[in-house]
Amino acid sequence: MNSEPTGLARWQPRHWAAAVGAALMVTLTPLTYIQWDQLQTMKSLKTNQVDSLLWAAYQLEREASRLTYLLHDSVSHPYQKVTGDELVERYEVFASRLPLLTRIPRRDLIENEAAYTAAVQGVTAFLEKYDPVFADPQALEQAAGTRAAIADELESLEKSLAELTREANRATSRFLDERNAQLQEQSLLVVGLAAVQTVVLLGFLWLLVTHLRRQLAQTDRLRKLSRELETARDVAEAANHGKSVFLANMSHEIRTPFQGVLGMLNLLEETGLSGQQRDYVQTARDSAQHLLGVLNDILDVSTMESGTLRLSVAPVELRHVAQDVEGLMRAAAREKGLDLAVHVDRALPSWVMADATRVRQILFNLLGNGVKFTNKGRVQALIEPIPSVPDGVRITVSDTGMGMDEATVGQLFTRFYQADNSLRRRIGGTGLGLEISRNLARMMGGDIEVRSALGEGSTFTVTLRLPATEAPANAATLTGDAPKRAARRLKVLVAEDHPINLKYMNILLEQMGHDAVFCENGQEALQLLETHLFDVVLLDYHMPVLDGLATTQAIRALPGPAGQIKVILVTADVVNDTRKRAREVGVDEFASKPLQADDLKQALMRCGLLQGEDSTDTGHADPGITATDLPGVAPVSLGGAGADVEPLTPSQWDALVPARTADAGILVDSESYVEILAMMPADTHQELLGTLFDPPEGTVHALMKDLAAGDGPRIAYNAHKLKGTAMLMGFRGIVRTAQQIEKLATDGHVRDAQALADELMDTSLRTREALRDFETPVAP
Amino acid sequence: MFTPLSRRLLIALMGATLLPLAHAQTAPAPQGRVILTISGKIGATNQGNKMVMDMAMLEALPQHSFTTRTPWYDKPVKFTGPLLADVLAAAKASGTTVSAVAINDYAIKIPADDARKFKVVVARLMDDKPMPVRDKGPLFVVYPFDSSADLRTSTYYERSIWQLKALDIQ
Repeated sequence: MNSEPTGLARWQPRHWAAAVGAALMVTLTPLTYIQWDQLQTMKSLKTNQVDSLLWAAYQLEREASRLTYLLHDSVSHPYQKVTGDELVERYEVFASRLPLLTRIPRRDLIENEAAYTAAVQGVTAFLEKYDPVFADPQALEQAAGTRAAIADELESLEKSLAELTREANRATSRFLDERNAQLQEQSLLVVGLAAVQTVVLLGFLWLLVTHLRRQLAQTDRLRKLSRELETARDVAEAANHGKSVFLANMSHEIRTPFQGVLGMLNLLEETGLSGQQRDYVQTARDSAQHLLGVLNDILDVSTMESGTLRLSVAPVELRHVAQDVEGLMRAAAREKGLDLAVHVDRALPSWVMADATRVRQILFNLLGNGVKFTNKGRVQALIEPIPSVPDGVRITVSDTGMGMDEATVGQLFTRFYQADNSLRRRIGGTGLGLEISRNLARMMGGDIEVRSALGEGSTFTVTLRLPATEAPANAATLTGDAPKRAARRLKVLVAEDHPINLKYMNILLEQMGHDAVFCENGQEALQLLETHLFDVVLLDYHMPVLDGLATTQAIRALPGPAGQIKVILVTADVVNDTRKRAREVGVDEFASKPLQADDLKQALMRCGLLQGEDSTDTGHADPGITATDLPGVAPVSLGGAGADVEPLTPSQWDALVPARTADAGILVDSESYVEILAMMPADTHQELLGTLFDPPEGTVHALMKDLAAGDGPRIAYNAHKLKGTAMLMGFRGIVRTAQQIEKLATDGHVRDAQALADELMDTSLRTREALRDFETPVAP
Repeated sequence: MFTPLSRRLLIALMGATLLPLAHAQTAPAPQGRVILTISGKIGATNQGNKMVMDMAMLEALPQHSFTTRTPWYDKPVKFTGPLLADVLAAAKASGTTVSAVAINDYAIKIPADDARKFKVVVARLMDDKPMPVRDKGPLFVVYPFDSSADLRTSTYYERSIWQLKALDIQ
């Protein structure tokens, strides 16, 4: 709507100044000249008194008359003595008047007139003739005849002198006329120039007004445009924010079933797969894990963009965080044959105020990158205080990898930028990691810098500001990886519709030593709450029938103690708005999804349901009422009461691994089993093994009995039960066999199922055999 | 024809008229031809109640010279002569106005103040030569026109009287 400014609108102030200056010059210069000229004329009038022309002519005539009169007097009145000196003086006065006329400055006005020439020539001739006579006053006194002759001659001159006076008068008039005409002309010129000046100035005024009007219009347009832009920006920001929120929600929505996919893939891997199938599953799981990483990154970026990302700062022991990350990275580093070293400076305060998850994320990202891009050598991290900066902490991650050139370093923190495009397929990653890390570092009052040269490795330096703090009273409970048995056995009601999550939470709560009752949705949870007493309710945010928030509202509306129950909302939603809304409807605490033992434990502690534990975990737990005591509710607790089992240290893990026999590796998933061993007291473990293997009640034996009886539905039921328990324990062999039997029985091939009885027996015997390998280091 | 009383009265009257003369100093009489007559309110006389002066007397007064441009000559001209103030002082003039008269009876009134304010000269030499009557002589009252722009006006050009013959102090 707005075109380029044209013509005057393009003029700069200096153009305007030049134009106005030129106009003033053009009009004022002639005016100044005219004024100056007039001044000069007046000056010359002052000095060259023009009127003296008339005066001089008149005086000449007058003196001629007086001389004539005196001469006549001396002749006609001899008794009145006229002295020679008097005559001479009069003659001289007369003579003195001639040069006054001939040498007058403006004699040019009259010089060319005949009267002038005649008079001057006449007087000059007269003077030449009588000068000798008047030179002798005495002789003149005696010669009366000469005096009479002189008088006569003088009288004859008077006519031309009178004409001269008249001519002088006319000349003066002419001069005055001429001067008047000149003045009139000049006045006209001045008026004309003033008019021109007025016109020019009016023209400029008009241009200026037009220009100003146009500028005002332009300013208006700009203001309007700016308003429109502001509105557009607001709309765009709102849309962007909306998108970020949508992205956060979507990532969450995708993530939840994704956990299921991952879990199922894990389970699938445990089943009897051929080498090729195992390879496929491995690939699928790697891809799924990668995808989950991508989703997490997108979620982080979108929450950062929507401005809802908040750091949850709490006392953190950096050493433990570093060890966590080191432990996670060790396998990857070892796989590539790299040395991995994480060193924490002794001068670093043990406890600092920080968001442990986010610090871990930065460290994980940088170390992960280091491992990814290094093929040979080492990756190391150094965490140390910065003495010059208060609360300053420096994390230096360096590698001996391929390094980067300057251009790459320059673009490194750009979104979606990856150091080497050809590496993208091989190495993967979203390209968001460094951006996220840097944003996080900045939120923590620091930044990330990078120094790198091609072929010489890279060094990333993170500076953070993490104020030192006192170790919290319940320090021990806040750290450590292995889930610990709860000091108190809680009755937990879990509303979770997703079967995989349900399964996962089941195991988790068992591990933690709590009693769990499950229901599928909020409606069921409300019904259970009305009839039974619980310590805490875990609600999933997204549930059919009645979602987490609606359920919380309904719970708070319940009468009596049921309405006061602690509610923990399990959600992957990190958008702070959601949490704020949840708090408003009465949610006590939050636990992130997928649920972590630590996370849940801290949520419970914050609810005041758990006390801080000693690190030795000597279990003074009250066995309490188990879920089995509740009629009508399926007992799901597999774990026993608190017992003296310490979590395995990594070194113990390492000690366990070589003990596996080749057979054991196929039959038993050592990692799952060791986990189970770690989280269960020995007697519970034995009891659990008993439910499988001990005759006659053990599931294996029950199934054998069913197989012998050829009871199809019973076979299917017990095979399913056996499969579930075996899966939990990590008994791969039994899982495989039980699965086959279940499938055959379900499909009605009871005979075929019966054929597997021997294999089942054999597998269970060999499994028990394999388990002996694990027992020695565990025994106290 | 005169009664004693009238004679006595006459004497008294004469005494009264002569009384101021008794105060007036008798100045030396001129030796040469008289060229300037000063009359009116003066304290020094040498011819009746007038003071007459010849060229020698004027020449005896302190002489001053300056060169100035004038409307009457194309070139700057040097004038030499006594200051008008000195001439008036010589006659012990006490009036406020000097009526100057030329040989051709041209007369102009010059405020006595002019003689005090400006270095007004009664010039007797022009370019170091005596001035004949034919050339504005013998005496020419000249203002130092070049010394001030205020003097270059018709008022002062008018007061510059030439062919001066008499000064009447009023």
